[in-house]
Amino acid sequence: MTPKREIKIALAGNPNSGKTSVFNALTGSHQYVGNWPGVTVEKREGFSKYQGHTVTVVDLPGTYTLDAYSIDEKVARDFLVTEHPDAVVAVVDASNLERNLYLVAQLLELGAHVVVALNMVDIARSKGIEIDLARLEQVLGVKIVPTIASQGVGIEQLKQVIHDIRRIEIPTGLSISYGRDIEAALEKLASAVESTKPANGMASRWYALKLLENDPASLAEIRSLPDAERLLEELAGIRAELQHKLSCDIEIAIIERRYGFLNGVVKECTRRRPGVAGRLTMSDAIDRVVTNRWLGIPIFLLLMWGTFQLVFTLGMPLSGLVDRLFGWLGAALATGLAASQAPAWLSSFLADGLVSGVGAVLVFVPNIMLLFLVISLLEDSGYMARAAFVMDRFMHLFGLHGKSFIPMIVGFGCNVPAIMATRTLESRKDRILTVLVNPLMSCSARLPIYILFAGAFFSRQRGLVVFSLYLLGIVLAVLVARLFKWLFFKQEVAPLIMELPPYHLPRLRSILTHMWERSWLFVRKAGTIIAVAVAVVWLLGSLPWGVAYASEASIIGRIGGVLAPLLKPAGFGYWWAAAALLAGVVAKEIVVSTLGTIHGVAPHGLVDVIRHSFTPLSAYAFMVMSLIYVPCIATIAAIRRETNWRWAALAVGYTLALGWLAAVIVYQVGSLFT
Amino acid sequence: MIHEILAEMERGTTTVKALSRKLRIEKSVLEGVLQQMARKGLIRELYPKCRARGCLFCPYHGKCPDLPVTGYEVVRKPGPAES
Repeated sequence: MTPKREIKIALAGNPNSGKTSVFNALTGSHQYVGNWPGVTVEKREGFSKYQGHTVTVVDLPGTYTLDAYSIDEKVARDFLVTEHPDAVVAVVDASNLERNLYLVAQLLELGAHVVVALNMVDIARSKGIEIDLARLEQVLGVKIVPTIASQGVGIEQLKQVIHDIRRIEIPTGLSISYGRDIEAALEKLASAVESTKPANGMASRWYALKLLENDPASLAEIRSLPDAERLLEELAGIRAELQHKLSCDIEIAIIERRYGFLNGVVKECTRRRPGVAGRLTMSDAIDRVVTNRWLGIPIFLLLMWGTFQLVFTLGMPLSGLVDRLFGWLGAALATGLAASQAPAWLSSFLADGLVSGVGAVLVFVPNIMLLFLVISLLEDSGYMARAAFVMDRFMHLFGLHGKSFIPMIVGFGCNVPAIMATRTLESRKDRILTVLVNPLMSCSARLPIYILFAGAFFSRQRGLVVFSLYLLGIVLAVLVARLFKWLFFKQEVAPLIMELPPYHLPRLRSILTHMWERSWLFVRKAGTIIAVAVAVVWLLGSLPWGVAYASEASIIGRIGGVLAPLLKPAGFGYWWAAAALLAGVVAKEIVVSTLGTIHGVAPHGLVDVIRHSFTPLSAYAFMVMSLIYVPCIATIAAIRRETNWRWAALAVGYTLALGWLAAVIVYQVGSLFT
Repeated sequence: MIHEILAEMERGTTTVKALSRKLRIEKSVLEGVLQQMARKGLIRELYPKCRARGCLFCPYHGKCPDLPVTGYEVVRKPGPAES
């Protein structure tokens, strides 16, 4: 009989195995693109003429298995089962042989005529992997053509094999031994399938295997048959018997055996050149140190400390320039208003209120930008994933879910998105717990308070002081979470396996964009929420009409006066400190802007005012209070949104109590030593 | 292999690379096994993106920060995830 002049082949392979390169090399420009019927998965088809034959090549979606869990896998499998191509060219990445062979094994079990295009053999060689092709052909029972498709190497030989496909004998139906019990079950099931299986010519053993694996697509096919009920009953009986014999899940046992077989194949057919194989990459070498059990956390802390040193060392001269700008602006405004004989209230509002209040916050923009620059740098380089990994171990020491630390890292920027990010946690209990402790992570809005007070009182150790506050936030978050877990959420912690991306040199454009976007949000906040808050504070400081501006007789003075005695044990029982903390509930930066507005001084003058009233100890207690007490309104709203009013009230209540207690402890205990 | 992976995960958080070295499984193979374990409901993939809907209070306003961690966690009780 004269063989057909048309040959239809399917191209299968894992994603990134070089399947597209093989397809392009086989078909050249004779390609057309469409969709697979009923789905939006792209279908590429092409043809080539070879020695008088027309070879149609259908490019199947890239898949790792034929398990029909994803649409891509279902499309690939349906095509093979229903279309019966003359051969399946399995494109295998030679440098990832074992993983790629999983699909080849399934294709062979399916009964397809498989030709392996062993692609990227050059990369495998460079990795020190030597493959014994003859042995691999023998073990798998397939024809193997080594290729480097991107360079066209091996494509002619592949075309020849495809051309000869009907003439060469290709054994079908690879038989992996799944062990005595599974094999016995397979045999029983295969004979049952034999009498009822869909008339598509696929191997009964393959169907039996798929049914044992609980493959939804095969079960659906079987269910559509007239004699389905009997077969399904038989299947249930065989599965139950097998499950009883096996010590583990049937599907897992099958996967394990298949991987075990492939592991054996790879061991038998490959050799790794010593010296090349297993060589540490740069990322591995760095990770050996950075994620080391003992060094990981100290390195993380060292980086945090370095970050704050940088924020101060480079940031303060720059913030001095902004300070001078606001000083000049305030003076120019005062001169202009005096010259134009503007009403006193307007002069007070603009000079004491807006310039002093908003300026007190904006003066720290350079520091904030530097902080975001470093955070972006760490994110872009791949270090942040390592930080989450090393902190995860720390969290586990306290019986906490390590994943909770991920939203906490986001909390260094802002608590609101960090609380939103808790939605990545599957367990509601974990989510609530992480939401509750997130306000203890020191967000960038608290930074102006720290910079102001640490700069005023701890000029030499200011970086260390700010670092200690961030650290205190983390430690308190872990301890509070442990307490809440014990009180409200008694459950076991699920362990993780993390994928750490390789390190890479950060891209300047990317880190500058991140820095700018985040810093701009801070500036925008100063121009909106903070400006409005400044106006309100100024108004409360000016009312009732006739009192001296921002005196104890003003409304804000009276409110602050009521709260001040409560803060006395913490060392800062001033009405204006109490008023600033109260206003800070709107947004933490407002603590600083309120101090500026009340005292009506340019940003630099504020340092003198607080130096006059605070001691280093009470300043530190004030910073501790600012770190812990009551989250800002946006954070409270986010907590309520993600949980309910009850948990939001708890967050407000416990942070207020803890903040006050911590500040009092710092001041009282510190007083014993000073 | 799957049981060994689960046993190692139970010992504490690890990385794919570290586990691949410890169990002497090629990293790409381990990734494949992990994917299949996730399909079978033994482990669950971590979602590196914020899945919040509506960003009214979020200062990032759609420019969500990427969470730095991907990977899997052990599923304690098979079945639908808690909501």
